[in-house]
Amino acid sequence: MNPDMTIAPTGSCWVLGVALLSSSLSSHAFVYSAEAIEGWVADAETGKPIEGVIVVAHWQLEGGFEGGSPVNELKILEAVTDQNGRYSLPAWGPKFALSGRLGSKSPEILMFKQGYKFQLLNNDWYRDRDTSKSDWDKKTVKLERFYGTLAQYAEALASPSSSLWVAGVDVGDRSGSYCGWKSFPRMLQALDRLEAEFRTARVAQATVVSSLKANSKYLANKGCGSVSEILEGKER
Amino acid sequence: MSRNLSLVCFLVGGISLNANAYKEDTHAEVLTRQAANQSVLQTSTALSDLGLNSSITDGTQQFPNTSGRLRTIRELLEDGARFEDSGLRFLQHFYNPNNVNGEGLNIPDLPTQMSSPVWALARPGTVSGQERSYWDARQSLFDALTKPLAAEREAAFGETFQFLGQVVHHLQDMAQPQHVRNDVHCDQPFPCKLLRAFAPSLYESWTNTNRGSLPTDSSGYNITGSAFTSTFNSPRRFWNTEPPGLNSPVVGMGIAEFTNRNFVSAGTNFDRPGIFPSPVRDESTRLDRDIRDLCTNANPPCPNANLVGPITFYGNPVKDNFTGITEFNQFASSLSIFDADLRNVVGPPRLFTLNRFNFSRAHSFLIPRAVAYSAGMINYFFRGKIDLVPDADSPGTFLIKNLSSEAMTGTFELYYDYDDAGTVNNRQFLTSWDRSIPANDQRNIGAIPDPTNPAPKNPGEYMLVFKGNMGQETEAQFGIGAVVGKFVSNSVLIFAETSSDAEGLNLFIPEHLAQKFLLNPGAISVQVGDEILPPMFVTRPCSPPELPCVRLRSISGGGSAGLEVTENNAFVVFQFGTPIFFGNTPEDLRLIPRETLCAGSIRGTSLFVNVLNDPPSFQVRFFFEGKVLFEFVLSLSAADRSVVLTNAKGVRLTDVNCRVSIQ
Repeated sequence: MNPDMTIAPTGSCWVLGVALLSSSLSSHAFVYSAEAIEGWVADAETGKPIEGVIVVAHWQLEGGFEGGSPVNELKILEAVTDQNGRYSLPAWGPKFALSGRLGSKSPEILMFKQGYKFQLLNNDWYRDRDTSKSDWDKKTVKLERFYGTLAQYAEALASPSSSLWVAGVDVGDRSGSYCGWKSFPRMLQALDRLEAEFRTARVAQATVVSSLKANSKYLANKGCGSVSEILEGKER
Repeated sequence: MSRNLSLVCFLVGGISLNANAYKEDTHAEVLTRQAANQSVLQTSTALSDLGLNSSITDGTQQFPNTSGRLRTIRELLEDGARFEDSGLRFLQHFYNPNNVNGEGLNIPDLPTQMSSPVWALARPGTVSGQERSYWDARQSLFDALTKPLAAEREAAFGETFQFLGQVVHHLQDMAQPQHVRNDVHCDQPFPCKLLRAFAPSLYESWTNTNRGSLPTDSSGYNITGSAFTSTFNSPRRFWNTEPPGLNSPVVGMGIAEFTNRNFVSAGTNFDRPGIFPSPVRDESTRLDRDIRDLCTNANPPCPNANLVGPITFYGNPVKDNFTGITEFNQFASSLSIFDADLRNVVGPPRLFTLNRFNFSRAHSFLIPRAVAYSAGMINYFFRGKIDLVPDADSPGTFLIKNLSSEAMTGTFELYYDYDDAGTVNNRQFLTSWDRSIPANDQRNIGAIPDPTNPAPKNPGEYMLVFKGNMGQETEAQFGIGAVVGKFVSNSVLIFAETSSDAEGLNLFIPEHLAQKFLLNPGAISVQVGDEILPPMFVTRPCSPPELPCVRLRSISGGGSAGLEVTENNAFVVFQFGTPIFFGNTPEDLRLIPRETLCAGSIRGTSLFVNVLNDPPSFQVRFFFEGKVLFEFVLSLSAADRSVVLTNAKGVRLTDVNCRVSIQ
């Protein structure tokens, strides 16, 4: 074992508790904010702007010794591109976070329009980067059309679906907040329509939408309201 | 400070102490998902044998995870891979095969740390805080097959798959060098700095950021081949096939042995010789490369395109004792004037460091193995295969078949399902037999008592469950031992329509029933719409000639019906008129890619019906010896004239696109 990496015992419990808090204040930011993001989405083949692309950006707090364990969502925002392919996400902050820290890859940006490959964008990872900025601000993202079977399309949706599930629901196990999914209703509505096509074609692939539907009672009990009303556009 | 006090302090501090060799997203979305996709759960009848729908991603088949949320089977495996990092479980995620005691971490004043395999394979009730081990998964599988209430069985299925996900998380950890070289890493400034353990794992962050492009193809490992299954023939051997000690990584074939032997880690690099016997620095492997060349066409692009200067790499041979193949890894470690992120020049070359080029090359070795060993463990868990069939040599009695490559000694229990006024799909124990059946052999178990009280929901349907000794899994290790299930049905399976404009469908018919049909075709009658057709009679051989087949026929003024019975349920898939696949079982059918099925046509034991005036929808009932064997409603789609089948309860039976459905 590397001797430099031995975790040393400290004094007593309350000392450690106080130290942890003070360490939290001094060793890294616990007040976060983000600058506004403006970007454009274009077809990778034609270069033409794509209207109606749903964009979800989320700033995830990570915890754990090694980091990477989602513990809460600091902010989740959704936007849709206009006829020029433009989208914008407002600035936010300051927001406080007493546990976890904002992963340097944040914000993670998910882009979806049916018929195109789902796009997942991260900030470039390096230590101590400025998390208030997105690498994708003022950038044009090229979406590639998807060529393949519906089953392959469904499988390709599994990863973004996991990201949305973790951000929208699963972080609740660590934060107590199970209702983040209500922050991206248009993404859910689009995926709901796509799942209907899957069902018609007998493609057995659950997305985050069928997971939400299956757990609608659970989520209602957590105070999140109705999944079906979100999917029907009745509630925001 | 006592261990308990340490724990309390962590909790008072409000820290969520989670750790993972790879980040949670990498474990779940990449390694476990790919393992599930490449396992028998996806490619064989493992799920249908358990009475489940054979899709691991079907949103209509969900079971609760331990947080109470409903998830598909693959999501449960992924949840397990995530949940294994909750709380203080990370302390049990290390294993050093060089250590003669096979220890994991050994950090003073923290709660007990046991090695990864000891933790993951702990017997239920023997380790405080560990209720999700391999053997817990075994117990859950037994419960999923035998508990009286459907809700209990569903909860147990959820646990089975989630716990299995937690077990394979460990094998994935063993493919991260720091976790098999006890190289502690901690990348949260809070609390890591406080604990004087701040040592971020750039490897894990790099891997996670690039998880969308990791090399997950594990086809180089034939995990279904006998070489693999005979080598990894106990859960523990997936970690190490040799006893812990210096010789273990040298000759062992477990994933921990492979990784320990062949890879340095951030804290056990070439500049710290003596910590581990291998790999060792070899000056003859030195190679200088300019960062501009390395960054040309790098994916993802290098973070700083303006850097100029050399990186010196050192390599080492990577030996896989299982495959017997040795490959040279030129990018095992680096001397560099750049920081580890390759963003800045930091001065004279430091001692050894690891950067993206080292990681990327390590991925090509480690990620496919993480997937392969995880998939192999899933396959191992579900490797048992049994069946219950009528004994043709002794009418009225049955055979239990051991279709596995290992002997089974234990108890075979038979259950059936029933509904009552309050609950549905209750499971009732019927009878059991203590038997020892050699591999690929069978035993007659006599007659099966008729289930009468309560009456079965679906006569002829049973759940056969084995518990006991199978291979290295024994009752001595754990009270139940191995667990194998088989959903047994004597009913006819509808598996496909014959063509887009046909009025017929393909069937799997139990062989003993098929023989009865051929011996007594006059006992068969078919109702088409409102008309019951006359009894059938033998006409002539079927076509195509590839199929040994007998054609039965029935004609009346209102319609006609034909039944072609192939020998031993033989079927053949044609593409452009050329036979390309032969089979005899639903398992065979599942081996055919859907694209092939959709583009081809299938012929086998088939039922054809015609009715005058071509109504858009009509009912078909199939009688034998006066009893309804099966029935369905046949509808013609107005749009494309394709056939839609629904069963008597209105449930759709066939697939619109390529018309394949096993019912």
